[in-house]
Formats: sequence, structure tokens, C-alpha cells
Amino acid sequence: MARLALEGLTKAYGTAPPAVDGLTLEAEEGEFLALLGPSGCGKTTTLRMVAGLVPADRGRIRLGEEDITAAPVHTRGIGLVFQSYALFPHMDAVGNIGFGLEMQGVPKAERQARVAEALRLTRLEGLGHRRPRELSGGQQQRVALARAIAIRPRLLLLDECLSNLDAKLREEMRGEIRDIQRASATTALFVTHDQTEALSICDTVAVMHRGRIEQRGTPEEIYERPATRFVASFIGRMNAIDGPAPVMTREGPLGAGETAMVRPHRVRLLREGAAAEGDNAASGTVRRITYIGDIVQVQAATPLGPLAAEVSGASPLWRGLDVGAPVGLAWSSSDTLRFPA
Amino acid sequence: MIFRALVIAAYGFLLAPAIFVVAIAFSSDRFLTFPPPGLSLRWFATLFEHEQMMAAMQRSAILAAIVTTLSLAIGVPAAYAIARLRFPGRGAIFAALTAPLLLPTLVVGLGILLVFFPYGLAGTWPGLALAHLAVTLPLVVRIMTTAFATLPPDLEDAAATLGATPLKVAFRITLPLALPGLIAAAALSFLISFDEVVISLFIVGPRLSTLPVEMYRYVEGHTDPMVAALAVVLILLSISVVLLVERLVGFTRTVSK
Amino acid sequence: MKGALPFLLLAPALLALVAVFVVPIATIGRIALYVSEGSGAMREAVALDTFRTLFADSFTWELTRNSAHLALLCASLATLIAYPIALFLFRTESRFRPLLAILAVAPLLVSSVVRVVGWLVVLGDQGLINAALLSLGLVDRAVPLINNWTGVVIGLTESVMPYVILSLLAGFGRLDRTVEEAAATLGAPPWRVFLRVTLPLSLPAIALGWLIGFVLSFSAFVSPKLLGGGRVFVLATEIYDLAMQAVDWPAAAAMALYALSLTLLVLAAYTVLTRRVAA
Repeated sequence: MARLALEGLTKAYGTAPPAVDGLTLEAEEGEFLALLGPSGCGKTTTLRMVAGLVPADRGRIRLGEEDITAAPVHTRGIGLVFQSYALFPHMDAVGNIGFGLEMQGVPKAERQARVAEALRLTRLEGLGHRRPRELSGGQQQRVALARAIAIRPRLLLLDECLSNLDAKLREEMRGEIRDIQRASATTALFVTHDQTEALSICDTVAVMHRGRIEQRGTPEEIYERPATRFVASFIGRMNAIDGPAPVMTREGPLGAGETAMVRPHRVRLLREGAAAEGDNAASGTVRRITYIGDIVQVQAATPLGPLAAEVSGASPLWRGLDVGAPVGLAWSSSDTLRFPA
Repeated sequence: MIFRALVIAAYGFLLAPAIFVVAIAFSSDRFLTFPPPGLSLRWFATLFEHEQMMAAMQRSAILAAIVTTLSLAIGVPAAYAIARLRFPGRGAIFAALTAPLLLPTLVVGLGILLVFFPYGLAGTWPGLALAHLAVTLPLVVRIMTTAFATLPPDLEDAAATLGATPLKVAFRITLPLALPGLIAAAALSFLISFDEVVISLFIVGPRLSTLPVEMYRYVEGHTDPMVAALAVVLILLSISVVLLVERLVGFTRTVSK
Repeated sequence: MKGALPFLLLAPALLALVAVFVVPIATIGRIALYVSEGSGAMREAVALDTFRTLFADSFTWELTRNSAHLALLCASLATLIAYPIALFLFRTESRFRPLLAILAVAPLLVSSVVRVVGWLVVLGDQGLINAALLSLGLVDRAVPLINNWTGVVIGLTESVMPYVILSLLAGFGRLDRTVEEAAATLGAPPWRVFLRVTLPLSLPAIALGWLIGFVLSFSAFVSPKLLGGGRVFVLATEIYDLAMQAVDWPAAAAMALYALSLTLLVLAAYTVLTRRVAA
């Protein structure tokens, strides 16, 4: 339960460009911060530096008032949930969860009480005496979480810890992790490459690219007002139109050497003959129709390049539409972003 | 079909000596005669009354226990360093420590004699124990390096994040998880030292001889079923060690690695 | 402190290695240059006298031929007999596989002297085979199967087999059941599948197994000594006799170096060959 501040954190492996390059980032007390980025962006290295498993080349790590940059791992009091869970196979769930308390020298009676509490929080009552291999994937995940929170960490780190679960279980666990983090008011840093995960459970998202933070903001800010072209294209689906082209953006007309971006669900689909509304329009022919759950994406070839529009599956707009059919697309300049190419 | 017959025949050839030595050990005859004219336990009785052999067996057991303890005490830390720590020359040190397995034991034995004799180490307990290290230590290093290197990832890191000091990590996580390898390494060290004959032949003394050496000398001189009885005892010892290890950790897992 | 930890952990093992391996091998090299003065005495020197005597003696060449011949024969026989076992262990999904695997390497877990005793029981004049031959009336008198080359070849072949089996198993990595199945679906009968697919794919394993068998047989001591009954002379038995009976250490050391370099030569040749084949 402390504020985390990373200042100019840098780590290079060998001669390659630094995996983490002067990274600066803060997480407020009790905040649930997602560190989101594609694989290889340096997010796991960052997390391991915070945990103390990898020494930083440069920069500072502050936790609360304390500078922990050089503190040994076992003195940091940071709970880490590993992607592999890293449960001790030779101990049962209780042994795993109580391990950190034992290391802190917590007396046995209190230890038992706190383990029981962690088991209850993670809904593992009755499974305490099972070994990891006797537990399902979701249960193992919960033990790993219980083990990390049992030590009442000053900071909770989660490393892609939902990626080994199937889709349905993952959704369930998201909610549980969120609830547990809120209840304990622990500052948490959640490393993931899965944007849905990051946007749905965290207060704040920091998008990481090439060892640096590209943008830090609420899920809504990140989604609606991406600060860089990378963030715009990494988060959600995006149409890109290279300038110069007759396109109006939020920031003005699109010129040479610039790219306009608009989300497919902001693009309206017009049947032939319908009047265009909005200050941007294009006509073209349908290339492909794709179902994405409840949404239908219609991709069209236009003079501006390939553009996609998304409509509700229930919408009559796309019914009867076939590949090769002429179609109109329209969108507003206020939904259109402009970035240097 | 043909393949199956070939496999059975090959196994037959491989195991023939062990199978038929058991049959002859219970012979009532004075020679290694097939088929035994009658069954008896007389040769086991003769063996257990053979003071020289019994004393040698006891010495070999003590020696094997010492050698095993030493090999583990020396080999396990080295294997840990090779498998879990980062330092320059790791590969070369591993190669060097396991190199004695590649060279003929006869040559190693001769070399040890040439070094130990001038120092009066030949025919002494310390000399024999050290000499056996030449074969058991490389084996322990090899088995334990694999055991440490194949530990599941992240467990030691996880323990550290939970507040365990490096020493606690070693004793609470690393060693317990490497226990199967440790038991297998101990069992193999013991058997190999107990059975070692080539190096021992070079450096046993008149008053300090091991069981395999005594057996070797006995076979050079006579062939009666007592030595078959002794062979059966040794085979039984090996089987019990294997069964014990299998019981504890699953021996097959460790040999198949 | 952190930099010293690996060194602290490694130091005892390295010290032991130096004491029981490095110094002994170096000492062999040193004493081979001493001059023997007969009846156990030797003079410190840096002389090649011992090697000169060694290579001038036709007995050395006979021993070399004997050792090479024995190793060739035993390695080939052991590979031939070990191959079916290894292939079977590699493929079987039987629940007895662990047991059968242990049995295949079990001879490693008993002393070589014990195995010699076993062979005496099987091959001796009144042993299993002669008893069978005599009672079937196939021979009139016992066929001498021990105290000669026959016994040594049989015993040594068996004693290197477990190592050959392990090497074959290690080398079978490229052998893929689906490739054999593919050949079968293309109309190849089992024996052609074996000749055209299985065997070619297992050639590297066979080469490795044979090499291990050769190197081990070449320097084997217990089987030639005990099953040969003093009538089989190879480099290994001679090294032992020189050191322990004649107590001519320079001669023993020189011959050990000679035998060792032959072994290393074979290993080097194998490495060069496999590299060339792989390239």
C-alpha cells in the first residue's frame, strides 16, 4: 500500500538496444495500473526490476518513501504473481500461501489465520491441503494470487498471470482480481499484452513500446485519445489513411506525410443512394464481410485505400450486402485523428 | 514377430550371466557344474564363514558410504554453481569435471597409483576414498547439474519475492526439489564405489582390500560356487538399491534422462 | 562477495579433480620419460628410452593388433545385439517399459567381476552351454569357451552392451514413428520400411553406439584378464602387468600414454567424420 515511482529506469542486455530505456512511470497508492505492450516491449523486464529479480542499469525505483533500487529481492515485500504461477510443487496450498509469512517469522497461530483468510478471499476453502498438481488451472492461479497477497505486500505485481487460463475462466478471474485488489487497497502493477484485459480491469493503463511509456491514462483516454500513432494502432481496431487525401481530421485537413486514423465503429455504412452525413465520405466496393461476435465488419476498397466499418450484427444495414456490392462510408472529422506518418 | 524374437534373444544374451549365476549359487556341487546335481545353501554358508570376504565386504560398504558422502558434499555445490549461477567458463568447468568419465579407468587408476604411492596413500583409507572420487564425483556432478538445471523455472524467484533469503531458498526450495536427483546420485555413487575394481586393484594394500578386489583375486585362483553365491549377494544388493530408489523417487525417471 | 560464490562452491570439486585426475594423468606423462633401471627402480630423467624400447618391441604391435581386433569385434557384436533392444525400448508403449529399461542397463549396476563369474557359469567346461551341447550329443568333449579369445569376446560384448544401448537411445532422436507410418501407407512392407527408412535414420545413432563400444572395449581390463585366463594379451592387461607385476612404471606409463592416444585418435577421427557428414 504505497506509491510506486520509476524514474529513468534502464536495462540493456548485451549490445542490443536497451530492453527498458529511461522508463518513468508512477502508480498512486491503491491504484491498479496496467503496463500494456506487445511482446518484447520491455514490460516483463520492468516488472522483474521492480521485483528485484533483475538489477537495473540506471534509474531509481521508489516504493512509498523508500528507494528500493538496490534492495535484495527478499527484503522488498512485493507480492508477485508469476505467469507460470511458480507454485512450490512439494508444498500444499496452505504451505504455499503460508511460505511468505513463515519467512517473515509470523507466529504459527497468526499465520494460520492469515492463510485461512487468503483462502477465503480467493474462494479456495477446503482445497488447502491439495498439492498444486491436484488443483485445476484456475485454482492454481488463485493459490498463486493468495500466496502473493498473504504477505500483505506493499505492492502487488501480476505478470501475464491470466494468459494460461481459458477464455471463460479468464473473464471470471479478472473480476476476482479486481475485487481482491480493491478490498485490500493494494497498489498493483499488472503486466499484460492483452488490451482487453488491461482496459477492463485497471484504473490506469500505461502503454509501453520499445522500452518506453508511450501514453499513460484511463482506459477511456487511451482508447479515445491515443497520444501516438503506435497507441492508436495497438489499442483496438483502426483504419489508417495516408495523406495527402481529402480527409478532415480533428486537428485539420490531412496533408502529405501524415496519417489519419478512425475507428471502424465510428464509420457509418451507407447503402447506395443514401445521403452522406458527416464531413468525411468515401465510396467503394465491398471486399469482405466478417463477423466479430455481435459486430459485423464490412471491409471496402475505396479511392482512399481499404476502409472498414463496423455495424451491429442486428443492424439491417449489412443484410443482403455481398462482396462486390457498391457501398458508401461516412465518418465525422471529430472522430478522426491525425498523426505524423 | 521376427523383431520380437530378436529382442527377446538380445535380452537373453544380456541377462544370461546374471540369471545362471543365481542357479549355480544354490548348487550342492563343488564345481560350477550345469545342471547342478542338487540344491543346497552350503555355498552361502561357506561365504558367510569366509572371514576374508566378509571383512572385505564390510570395508567396501564403509568405503562406499564415505565416498558417497564425499562426492555429494563436493559435487552438489559444484553442480549447483554450474546449473544456477552465471560466471565465465561455466561450460569448460562442467566439461573438466565430467571428463574423467571419458577416459579409460585403467589409465586413471595407473595415474593415481603413480601419484599416491610416493605419498604413502596407496593401501590407505584416505587413498582409496580419494581414488574412488575419480569415478563417482564426475557422475554426481553430471546428475546433479541436470537435476538443478531442469528445476521448474521461477520457483526460486517466487520464494525470494516472498521474503526468503538466498540460504532459505536453497534449503527450502532448491534442495527439496532436487531431491530425486540427489537420491539417485547417492545410490549410483554408492553402488559404483562398492563395485569398483579397476582403480582399486592399483591401490589396495595387503591389509586394506575391497570386496571386488578380493573377488577378482579369488576368481583368478578358483572357480567354485561360493563366488557365485557372492555374485548373487552383490546382485541382490544392486536390486535392493534400485528398488529403494524406485520406491523413493522413480529410478526410471532418473536413468531415462 | 557475490563474485566469489561460484568459486567457493566449485573449489572443492576442482581441487578433487586436480588431485585424482589432472595430476595423475600428468604424472603418467612425466614418469613415461623416466628411465627404468629394472626390479622396480627408476631414474628421474627426461628421456625417450622407454618409448624407444616400447616401439621397437614387436610385442607392442601384437598387443595393439589384439586390442584393436577385440574392440572391433566386440563393438560390432554389441551394436548388432543392442540395436533391437534399443529400438524396442524407443518405440514401446508398454507399461513394463521402465522395468525393461532398467534390465537393459542393469549390468552397469553390478561389478564387472560379478558378470565375469556369470559368464564362467555359462561358458565353463561344465557350464550351461557345454552341458547342453554334451547332453544333446552335438560334441564329444567340452568346447573350450573360456580362458581364450572366445570367452573374452562374449563377456566383453555383453559388458559394453548397456553403454551401447544408452548411446543408441540417445541417438534415436531423429527417428520419428510417423515417417515410418508414411512409408507404410506408401506401400512399403515392414522389412522395406526398416531398410529404407528406419535404418538410414538411425545410422548416426549406430555410429555413436559403435564408437562407445569400441572405445570401452579397447581399454577394457577385467574381462580380458579374467575370461582370457592369462592367455589373452591386450594393451590393458599389459599395462596392468607392467605396473603391478614387473613394477616397471616408466614402461607402464609409456604404454598407457600410447593406448590413451590411440583412444583419443579414434574419438577425434569420429568427430571429424561426423562433422564432415553433417556439413
